[in-house]
Order: sequence, then C-alpha cells, then structure tokens
Amino acid sequence: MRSVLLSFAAASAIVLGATAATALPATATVAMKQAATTQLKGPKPGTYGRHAAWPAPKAVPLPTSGPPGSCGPWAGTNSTQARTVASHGQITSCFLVGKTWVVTTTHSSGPPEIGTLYCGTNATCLNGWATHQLTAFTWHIAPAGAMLRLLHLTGSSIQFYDGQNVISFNTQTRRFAR
Amino acid sequence: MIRRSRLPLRIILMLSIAAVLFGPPGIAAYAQSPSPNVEFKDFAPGSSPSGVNGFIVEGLGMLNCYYSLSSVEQQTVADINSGHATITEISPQGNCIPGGGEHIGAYESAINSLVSYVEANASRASTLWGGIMLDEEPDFQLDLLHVYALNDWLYHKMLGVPGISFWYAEPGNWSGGWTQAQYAAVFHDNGTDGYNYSSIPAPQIYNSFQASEQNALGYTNQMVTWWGGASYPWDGESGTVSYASTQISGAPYDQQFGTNHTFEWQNQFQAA
Repeated sequence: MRSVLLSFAAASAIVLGATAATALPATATVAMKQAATTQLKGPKPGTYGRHAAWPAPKAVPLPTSGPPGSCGPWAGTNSTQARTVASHGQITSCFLVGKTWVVTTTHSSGPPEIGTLYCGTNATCLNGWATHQLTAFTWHIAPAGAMLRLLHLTGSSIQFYDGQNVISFNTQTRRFAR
Repeated sequence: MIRRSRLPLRIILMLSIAAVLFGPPGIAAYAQSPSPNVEFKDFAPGSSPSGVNGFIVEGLGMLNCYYSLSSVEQQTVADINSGHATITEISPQGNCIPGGGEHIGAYESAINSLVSYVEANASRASTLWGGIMLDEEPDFQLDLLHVYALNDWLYHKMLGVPGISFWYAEPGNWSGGWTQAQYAAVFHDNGTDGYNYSSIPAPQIYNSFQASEQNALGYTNQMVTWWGGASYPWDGESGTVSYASTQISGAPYDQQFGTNHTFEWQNQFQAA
C-alpha cells in the first residue's frame, strides 16, 4: 500500500512539470493552497533548537540499488575490499565518468588518491552495483592536499578541491593538473 | 511502608517518560517521516531534462567561476516558466570573487540581479521559485564571518521577495572542518553576534559524520541532500527514498509549490 502511495505521489509530482502551466490555476483548492504557501516563508515556527531526545535509530536495510553511476557495497567504507586496499586510504566517493569508474580516497596523512577502472563496453563492469575488485583499479596519488571533493565534471575532466586549491584529473590521460 | 508503596509508581513513571522520549521499539527512528516522495536534482545551465520533479539550477561559484550569471538567470526562468519547482544554487567561494574573499558584496550584487531578473521574467515565481540555495563549505575560501554576513544579508533579502521564494542552506562539513557550533550557525544565527537569520535546512548527508552532526541539530523539517557518488551505503536509493533520508531525523521539506499535492522533498546532488 505504501509503495502504491509513493508511486502515485511520484507520478503526480511529474505532472507538476508536465501540465502545471495550464492546469494549476484552475481550481479553488489550488488558490487556497497558494494563499497558504505565500505565508509560509522559511521554516515553520518552532522547528529550531534541540529536542529533548531523538528516538534511538531504527535498523534500516542497507540499499540494494542506487542511481546510474553509483557504486554498491564493494565501494563501502567498511567493506572487506576497502580494508584490503587500506594502503590507498579510506574511500570517500565513487562514481562513473564516461566509461571509467573513479574512486577517491583520503589518508590520515599524505595526499589523497584516485583509483580508476576503465570498463569500455563491458556491461557488467559498467554496472556499479555488480561487485568490482578494487585491486583491479589503477591508483594515482594527488600531488598535494588532504582531500578530493568533487566540484565539477566536464567530459573526461574532473575538478576537485584538494583542501586548498582546485585541481583537475583527466580520466583519459590519468593525470592531475592545476 | 509508604516508600515501598511508591516504588512501583516511580518505576511506572520512569517507564512512561522513557516511552515518551524513546518510543516503542521499532517505530520511532532517525529517519525522515514521512518518507520523501519527490526530489530535486541538480543540472547545469543549459540542461533541463524531462521527468524531473524539481530542478536545481547549479550555478556553482558564479562571478569569476564556471557559469555566467546570465546563464544561471536564464535557466532559472526557463525552468520556472516550464512549470517546474525550481531552486537556484550558488556555491560562494573566495577564489570566484574578483578581488578575493573579503568582497562578498559581489555575491550580493549577483543575487540582486538574479532576483530582479526572475521576478521580472517568471510570472509564476511566487509559487514555483523556491529561491536561492547556498552551498557553503569550510574550504571555500570564505571565513566564517563572511559566510554568516552573506547568510544574514540573503535572509533579509529573501524575506522581501514575494511568495514562497526564500533561501536554503546546503552546507557540507567534515571532521576537522567547522566545529559543530560553527556548522549550526551556518543554518541559523540567534542574533547574539549581530546576525539574525534562519534558513530552510538542506544539509549534505554523504556519510555518517555528516548525518550525526545534522541529527544533533534537531531540526523537525529539513530537505536531505544526498549524492549518488558518496561511498556506499550513502549513495543508495529505493524509489524516491534515499538511504541518507533514512538516517536523518524530522520530516522532509514540505512545500507544495502552489499545488494541492503532498510533496515531501529530498535533494539529489549531481555533479554538473
């Protein structure tokens, strides 16, 4: 039932984009809603400050899927594989650039690293939720910095902040540049 | 004798308090409730694909960086005029400002221009333009006083913009970046330091550190920003429910954008 409701809600949401320009102003209900929302400027009153206590977290199932270009448990921070390649640091992000998987890591000391795996047309390899062997990645040590925080993607070029400067990495040449 | 008779009452009282605070096992949780049923997605100026619930126009640092102000303005108006819920995002950075990070007036000028352009060219801005989202992070070459000053200015600016249009705080922090108190003040300042503002929280939740830090703030309404490029399991999503949203307390951002739907929003960051 819940999934049906969610599906309905999601489908309805898309209608906002598809037909809103002609459909929305027609009903009194909409007009009432508009009147209500115009008064809602920012957070509702009373939504700031700490609560006395939040309930204990409930165990939520780990995800079994993600958007295209995302990575499964093999790239998890605490995965067995991650520990296997601990010499390359702790995984902070994992994403697909073209046909190349890119994994970024940080070290407790020393510059971060990028691991790359080119898939070509291999569909299994391009599926991020299929298991990949981190030992198959090629590793590249950043010239400086303490982290690689993704800023921007342009073709095969990735722009990061390294903690002090913008630095780019090209997945085709596999080289860093400032 | 009297003390003995009171003991069970005390136990009952303590259990009652515990039940109120912690709830029955398996019901209450650090999870957005209700679950998000729609999401915003980031797109660079020039891109607005179909099938998206709501657009975030990703302007990045603007000024001297990446995208031009005019391209951000035009895409914002185009998305609104196509009938979509729309937010315009900027990532203020010192190295994008002509003259350096002391001159945040450059961002104020850019935002003034953006607001004027949107209000003049998007007739439904009052119900479809959520307003401006600021992505502020510790390494963006702006010291905190300038971050707070810009937030304070933006808060008061957007209060004067018609309709729902306001501002969203989408900070990203990490261990060793801002302190918890500094992070909290990016969202909301209580006026004791001369600044007085509040935002619609849209925190970046890409890992357990960020989730823990955000939950400590205790917001009852917030829009979780998650990223498919975060390390597993923070990159996961089932339907419209991100794993990140299952780890954050309170309710999702509840805004109907002038419709009679029941929209509960999350925000999916995409590199653009």
